Amino acid sequence: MGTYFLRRLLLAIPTFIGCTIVVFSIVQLAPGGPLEQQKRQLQAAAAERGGSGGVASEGETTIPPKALEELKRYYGFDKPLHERYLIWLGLWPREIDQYSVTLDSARRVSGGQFLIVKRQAGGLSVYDASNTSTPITTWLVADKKHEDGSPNIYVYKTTFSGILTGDFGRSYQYREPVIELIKERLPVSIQFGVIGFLVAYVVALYLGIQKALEHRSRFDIFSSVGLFALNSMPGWALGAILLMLLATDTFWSLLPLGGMQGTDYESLQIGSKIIERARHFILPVIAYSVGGIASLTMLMKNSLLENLSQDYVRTAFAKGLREKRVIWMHAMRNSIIPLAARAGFVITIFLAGSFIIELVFNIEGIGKLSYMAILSRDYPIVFAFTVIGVSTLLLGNIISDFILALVDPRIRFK
Amino acid sequence: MAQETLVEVRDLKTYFNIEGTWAKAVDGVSFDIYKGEVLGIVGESGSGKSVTALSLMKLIPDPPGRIMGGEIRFKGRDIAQLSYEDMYSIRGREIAMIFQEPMTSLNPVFKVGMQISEVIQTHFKVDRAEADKRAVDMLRQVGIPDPEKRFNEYPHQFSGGMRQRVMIAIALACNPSILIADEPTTALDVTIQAQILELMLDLKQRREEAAIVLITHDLAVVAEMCHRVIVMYGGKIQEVASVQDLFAAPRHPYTRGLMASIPRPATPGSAREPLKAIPGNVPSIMNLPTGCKFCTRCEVKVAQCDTVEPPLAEIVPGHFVRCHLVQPEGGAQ
Ligand SMILES: Nc1ncnc2c1ncn2[C@@H]1O[C@H](COP(=O)(O)OP(=O)(O)OP(=O)(O)O)[C@@H](O)[C@H]1O
Ligand SMILES: [Mg+2]
Repeated sequence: MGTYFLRRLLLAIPTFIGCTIVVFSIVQLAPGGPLEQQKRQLQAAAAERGGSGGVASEGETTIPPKALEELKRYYGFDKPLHERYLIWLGLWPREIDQYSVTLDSARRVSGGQFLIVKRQAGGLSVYDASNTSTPITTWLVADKKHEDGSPNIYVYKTTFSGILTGDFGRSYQYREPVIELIKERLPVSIQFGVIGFLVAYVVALYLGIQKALEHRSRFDIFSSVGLFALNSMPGWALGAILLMLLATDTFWSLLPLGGMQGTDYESLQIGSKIIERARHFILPVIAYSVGGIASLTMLMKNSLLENLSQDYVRTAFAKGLREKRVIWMHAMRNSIIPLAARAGFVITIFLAGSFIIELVFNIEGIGKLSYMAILSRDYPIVFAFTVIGVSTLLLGNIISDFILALVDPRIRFK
Repeated sequence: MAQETLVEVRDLKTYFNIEGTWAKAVDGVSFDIYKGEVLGIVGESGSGKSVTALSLMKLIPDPPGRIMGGEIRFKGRDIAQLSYEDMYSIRGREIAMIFQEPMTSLNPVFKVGMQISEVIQTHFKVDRAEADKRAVDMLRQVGIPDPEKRFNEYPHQFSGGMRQRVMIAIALACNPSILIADEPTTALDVTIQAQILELMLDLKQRREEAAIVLITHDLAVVAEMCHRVIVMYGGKIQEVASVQDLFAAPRHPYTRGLMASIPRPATPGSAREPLKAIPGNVPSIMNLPTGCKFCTRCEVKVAQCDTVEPPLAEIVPGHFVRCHLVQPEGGAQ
């Protein structure tokens, strides 16, 4: 059993690499990357400036080619794609502390050190400005020629740091380590996800059982229609409608419009604080859980119905067991097996759901963060979200197997 | 026969509502079960054997099924009229049942031991430890080796024959007055079949008072195990007799047909008799003939058979036949 899960974990590694390669390549090759964004920003700024002078020529790059190359270097786009991927993983040296230099003139770098780059017979080498006899090895030097052939020399240090070492890079937008941004927001997303998940399961279990026990009754038919309608609407769309109905002046202004807490939250008593929190949670949790509820309910209902017609249920009745015990113990214990096994998968649905729901309800979670990051091509955040997503998916599958092994004695993984 | 009657079934009617019409799966069945006897019920598929048995336990799924009429007298009460609430104390305690499918009749997610001690705790005021002790003892009685260990195993760790032994252990755990075994060996291979039947006979010998109702397709099993036999066809009893009478002189054309279809080894010197299957198929219970239920396949039928249902007549004491062509002894034939 233990070895089975160990093997599953090991097998998750190639899957993880495959998934991240695909996402990494697609995102990096897609047009509208950070370079183009920077370009556009500069152009817009130039157009504004030039607007008064009336000499702006639209569509023309106003960034000098040298600056552009420096930007490329800053973002790492001067490297081939596979190198970029390995750097991101942390398996290829990452260039840090880059400084453009001119030959034979001292350059102040981090740590207050002054460096001089000289051209030797073998090529370029770096010296400490105070001692130009022996070259130093802590700093490296490279010459990527400019397009016009003139030298483009810079010094830099290298380090192995990537997601494998826990370094998710810095956000382009926030200029902050991505890991910090995520640390702030993940708990928020998890709160909503877990509560939505639990609500979905509790409601689906209850509804599914009632529907199975009252199969073909009026309640069963009407709830099926309702569930079908809910199922055809994405959670965020329902959320937006509910917001409009219940949280704006247009209809009833009963619930808050979004966020986690009101502005006067800190001044409230503990009881009011809880109520305030709950009021902020109601609509998002509804939006989170509707997607899962419909399918989970039908799964529960069908599973219970199927089990109630099994031979072992007849045996249980033949033993003289009471109906309550037959249903709630014998049939139910078997019926929850498919639901329990789905739990790992459902977790990933909630992660995916967070994307737009957090936006609709203005929740500062990783979903909203990543959505904004995609719009602004903030690659490090997008990739970090990919890592979280893929890991949850893989882990979810393993968790599902694990739960299945727990609840079904027939399953023994080898 | 000076036998004590345990159950009196009178004019039992169990119908199934199939798309608005009532299909008469069991239609006016009357018979007795005596203390200590092994009563066989035979008949082709669909003749109503299982429905009769399930009616005795009030285990007919409703909907679509319902006991429409008749009485099932047992210990001064009429099971047909009892509420489900009252049935709880009879099922598993007074009347127990084992089924055809040992592979699916046990709950796959509970340990075998629990499934036995559960029935003990349901009917007797004993604590868990005592119930478990008795369950282990039952496992031993039904011939499961290493019962203490097997007690903690799940059904999927048992073979089909072993599971049927467990079912027997569950059924006999509360010492019921009647054990109904509905084709207990059909799903098992031949050597295991013999072992299970032997086990049932063995356990029967230790319970003088208890009756067994053995439902089967297999007349050889009947000859081996039973004291009396009921032959069913089309939801009705066609013939009832002691096992000696039935095999010595089967009267109903249907019973004769069943007998002729048993494969027999050829006796040396004589030519091997050809195997004769009853021609035609069992009619659907949705459109049974109005007269004798067997008339569509009967080789000796007369005109009357199509329209008039013959009564179940006692032709010699203890031997009942439902056929126009079979008259009580001494009557014209
Ligand atoms: N739950 C049910 N719903 C509808 N019809 C049923 C149901 N159970 C039994 N029947 C019908 O009742 C009739 C008698 O069935 P029964 O199971 O008693 O036959 P049987 O003699 O036990 O046959 P077998 O040897 O195949 O077990 C059959 O025609 C069957 O289709
Ligand atoms: Mg049957």
